[in-house]
Amino acid sequence: MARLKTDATEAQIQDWCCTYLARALRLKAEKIDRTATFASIGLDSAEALFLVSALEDWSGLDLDSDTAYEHPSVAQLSRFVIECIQAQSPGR
Amino acid sequence: MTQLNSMVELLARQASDHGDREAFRFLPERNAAETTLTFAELDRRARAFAARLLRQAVPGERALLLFLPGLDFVIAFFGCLAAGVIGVPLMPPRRAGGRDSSAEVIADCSPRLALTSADLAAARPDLAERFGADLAWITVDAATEATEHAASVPAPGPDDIAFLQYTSGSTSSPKGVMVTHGNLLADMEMIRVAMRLSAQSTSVGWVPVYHDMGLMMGVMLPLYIGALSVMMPPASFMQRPLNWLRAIGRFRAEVASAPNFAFDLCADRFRPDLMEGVDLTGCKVAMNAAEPVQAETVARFAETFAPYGFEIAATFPAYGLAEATLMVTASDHGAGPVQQRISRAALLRGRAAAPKSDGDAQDVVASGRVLAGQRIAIVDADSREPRPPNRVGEIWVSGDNVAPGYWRNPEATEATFHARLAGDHDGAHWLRTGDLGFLDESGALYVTGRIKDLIIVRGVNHYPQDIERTVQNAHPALRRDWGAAFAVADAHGVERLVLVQEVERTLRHGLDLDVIAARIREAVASEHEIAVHDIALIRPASLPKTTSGKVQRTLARQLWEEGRLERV
Repeated sequence: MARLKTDATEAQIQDWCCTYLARALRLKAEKIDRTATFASIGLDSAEALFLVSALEDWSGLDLDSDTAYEHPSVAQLSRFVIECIQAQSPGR
Repeated sequence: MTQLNSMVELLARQASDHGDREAFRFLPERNAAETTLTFAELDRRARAFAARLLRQAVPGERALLLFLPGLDFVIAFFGCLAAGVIGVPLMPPRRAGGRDSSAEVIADCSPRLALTSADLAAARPDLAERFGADLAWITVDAATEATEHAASVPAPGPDDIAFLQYTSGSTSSPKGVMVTHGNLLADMEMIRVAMRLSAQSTSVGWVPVYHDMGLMMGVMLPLYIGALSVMMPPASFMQRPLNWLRAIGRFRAEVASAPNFAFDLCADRFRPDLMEGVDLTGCKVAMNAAEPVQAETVARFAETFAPYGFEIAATFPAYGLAEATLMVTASDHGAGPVQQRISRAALLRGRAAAPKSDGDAQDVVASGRVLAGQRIAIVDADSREPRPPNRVGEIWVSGDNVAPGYWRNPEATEATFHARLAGDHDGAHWLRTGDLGFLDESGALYVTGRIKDLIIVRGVNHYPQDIERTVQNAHPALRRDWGAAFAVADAHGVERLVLVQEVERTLRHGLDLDVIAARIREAVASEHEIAVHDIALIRPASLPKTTSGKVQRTLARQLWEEGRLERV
């Protein structure tokens, strides 16, 4: 597992998600609606797990497999991730 | 071994012979504590749970089994067996809408009980409401079971139903296979012999227990041979496929079973840092079954993981179905995959023959030979005459592992389980599998498709999988494995080809539907010589699939006929 990305910002996480989704779904990153549900942009349940798994590698967090169900849009997922990072960062 | 009559006797024997040994170990997601059950603990808790069941139901009544991955399912399942209550494993329905057949299954088997675990009951309070008020809910709970005395009911006999396995076929009319104790013991013994298993044959699996493969390979077979079964949540595999291989290495597992796609996924997600120190040399049976075995997958997996001690000889293609408890054919132990290159054109005409050119060549992988104790026949579905080697026909099966039929469905039972070969007067009953295949001269079975999905145009048989592949290769915007090809009869009763295909999200300006449709028509016409009747390009994730990821062509056809597809 990678080191925890303590310096990440919410905007940065959103950008990362959009870049990932753009590649996985063959979209243009700037065309992704950050508030649209993952299902509505064509992410199936297996692809959602792959997103979570890639996000773990990038962020250094340990995430549940249902994270993308619980937080089903780029905006919601990024909010959740930044909260996890802040909660786990030392010196808070 | 002296004669066993039921899985209940078997569990009691394992508990008395080596009760302290670990029978099941569950590896939860993330860093939650692993849980274990010894044979003695399972025996005791199953009997105590049975006593709880029998306060609210009588033997022969049905109990839904709704569980998140974990060992509580195993306790509840064996509790049902000990109580003589017929268990019905079911996938917990997804939270949001989604198609599933749970309502139809409940209507079909009219259960008295719904059994679950505390974690699912807490996470999904909606289930009790959704499944109706007639069900009595019982939650597996160690503290409650500790105060119970073992149920005392007569031990089941070989002809008693152990559980109902609902096949993942059509959602509208699910059919529950009645698997008896005798069926289970027969199939487990055949598998034990074919895989050369012993009490040391640890397995590691993640296939869900509401699927026949997960239940048999992950729960029943390990108990039968008295070996450790290590279970992982399916999502944990999907999220981190290499964890499966790491667990195989960690437990020096001898057996690992999964559908073909899983082996592809492991190769796709290979990362050397995650495989550091993993030793796969103990894996002697990597069973690949439940969907067509792809030559490319088998080779790629073996090549990717050879540096970690995986030997291609461990590759173990097999074929089976719930109606035959599980396994019908299997590879020779240690022999590795058997494959041949055959003519695509000849296969369309129902024959296996040498290819005429490279373009005509297709690699097919054998699913092994029929297990000792069963019989298999390749049959002309219309004339019911057996076919010679290298001719494609319907696969028919007979043996003690073949279930007596479908729950309360005499018509479907008669049609599927009571088939007779033409001119056969000894009265032997055969199971019609609905699968198509051929046997080579050595008796190896090659499964080539499904009888019902077959598309017949101008007397030529087309396998929908092949046409779908062509469609998906026609344009980069078309999603792989997310298309359905099927035949519909036109006004003149002539079979016409319809294609339903998901489109990737793409550049708005780059996506010209007319161009895509034109490319599809061109490709299908040139490769299969069929004019396409209609192409429905649909939104991502709107094509119906089964829980195991198989395309539901019949349902797709129904949606097409009703004009309910989400066209782009």
